[in-house]
Amino acid sequence: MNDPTENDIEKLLRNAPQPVPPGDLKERLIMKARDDERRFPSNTQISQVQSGWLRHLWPVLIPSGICLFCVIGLSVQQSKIQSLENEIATLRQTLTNELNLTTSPVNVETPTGLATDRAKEIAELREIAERLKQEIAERQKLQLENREIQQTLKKRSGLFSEEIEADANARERAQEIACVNNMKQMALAVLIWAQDNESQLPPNVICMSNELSTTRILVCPGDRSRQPAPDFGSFSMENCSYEWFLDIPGSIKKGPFSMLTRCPIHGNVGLVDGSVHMRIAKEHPEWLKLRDGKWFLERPATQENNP
Amino acid sequence: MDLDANQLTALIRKDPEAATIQLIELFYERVYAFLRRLAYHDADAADLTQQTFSRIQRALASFVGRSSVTSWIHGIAYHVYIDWRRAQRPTESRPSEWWAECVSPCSPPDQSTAETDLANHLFACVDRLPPDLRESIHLHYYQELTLQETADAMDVATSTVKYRLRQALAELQKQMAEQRHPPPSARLKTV
Repeated sequence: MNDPTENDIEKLLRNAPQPVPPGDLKERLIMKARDDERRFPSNTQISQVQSGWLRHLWPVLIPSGICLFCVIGLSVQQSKIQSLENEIATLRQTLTNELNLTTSPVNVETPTGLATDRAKEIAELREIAERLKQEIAERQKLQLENREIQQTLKKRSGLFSEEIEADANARERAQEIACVNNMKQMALAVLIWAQDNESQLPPNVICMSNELSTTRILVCPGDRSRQPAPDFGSFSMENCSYEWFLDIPGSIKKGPFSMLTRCPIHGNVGLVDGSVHMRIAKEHPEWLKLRDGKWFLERPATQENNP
Repeated sequence: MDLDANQLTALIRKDPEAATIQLIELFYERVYAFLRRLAYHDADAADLTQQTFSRIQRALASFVGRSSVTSWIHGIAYHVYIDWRRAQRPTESRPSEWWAECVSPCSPPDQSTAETDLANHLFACVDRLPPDLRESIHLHYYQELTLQETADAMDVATSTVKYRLRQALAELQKQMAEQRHPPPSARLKTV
């Protein structure tokens, strides 16, 4: 027989006998596997994850984590550097300001500059107060002179004191009647306006410019502090002596005793029905009642038939 | 029947215990045979087989299918054997009659006694090879793994496996020739 070739050897090796395992080996292996599984349950789900993406991505994750950490560190350092630079800039600014103050204190708006401004203002105000005091003293002087002149005029006119008093009363009475007349005209204007506007009260005085004949009726003759407006174009409530109760919108049919106007000088009261009652606000203020935001004239039953 | 790596991965996710049992059913004979040829006693081989499957069960979750199931299991069995060999440091040699007791399923009944003797002699020569060469022969020829699977199981390159097999075959051929035609000095000694 010849020496075996390489092929012969390979063939013999491939046909090597197969050792037969013991009969109970398979059962033993299976039992042990089950026992191990019961005692140490496999964590395949977790391990799968770990051995899945984490296992494959850790070469990327670790450098990226390091890079991220470095970037965060750099950004924090940059922000700190920026804040420090800002602080340095502010400190430099304050330093330069202080240096400027020492050289020229008036140039910069500093607390010392503010103090000087206030002192100036106080001095000016004191001057104004002094001037006003002088004016008041001059006025008082003029008033005294005026009274003395009036007394001398009365003496020269030759009238008695009773006559002078009666004259003053008549004058006052005339003014009062003129005031009533004004209020009558105003009430009439309101009624005309209401007729044209579905019985509604006018919202203000200006809108009744067509109904009111002139701006002079809006100033009480007894009111010396106001001047009538030249026309309704330049009219404001400064040119009106009377109190108007138009600010609460409502119908004119709310009641005849609803108050429309009032004269603060004579106490006359005008109602929406067009009537004017003299001196009510002065002599009987208790008759004026406020109900639902509106003033009403409510006379006592005994006075109903005696207007 | 072999188990595909994807099938095993799916089975592991579904039911790890069932996967272990299926692996035992499919591979326990081959693993036992591999370890029995390397170890010296049946009991040692059975223990090593048990250790191998325990380790397989623990390592199931780490199997991601990058190698074939066969090479993965043989790799574990190979490392179990390496650990055992390092721990035991076996010094006794395998009795040469063991191979004669093993009946090869492929050997025809009319195989001549000379051929059987030659085969037994060859297997004994394999046992005397250095460990790296011997284990390469076991995995590639006895266990019928491919070169790639052998390389995966031994954690070496395919070229290394090829080199080792070439070296082992040359050594076996040399030993077989020496056995059949002993050198004169040996013949004198025997006389």
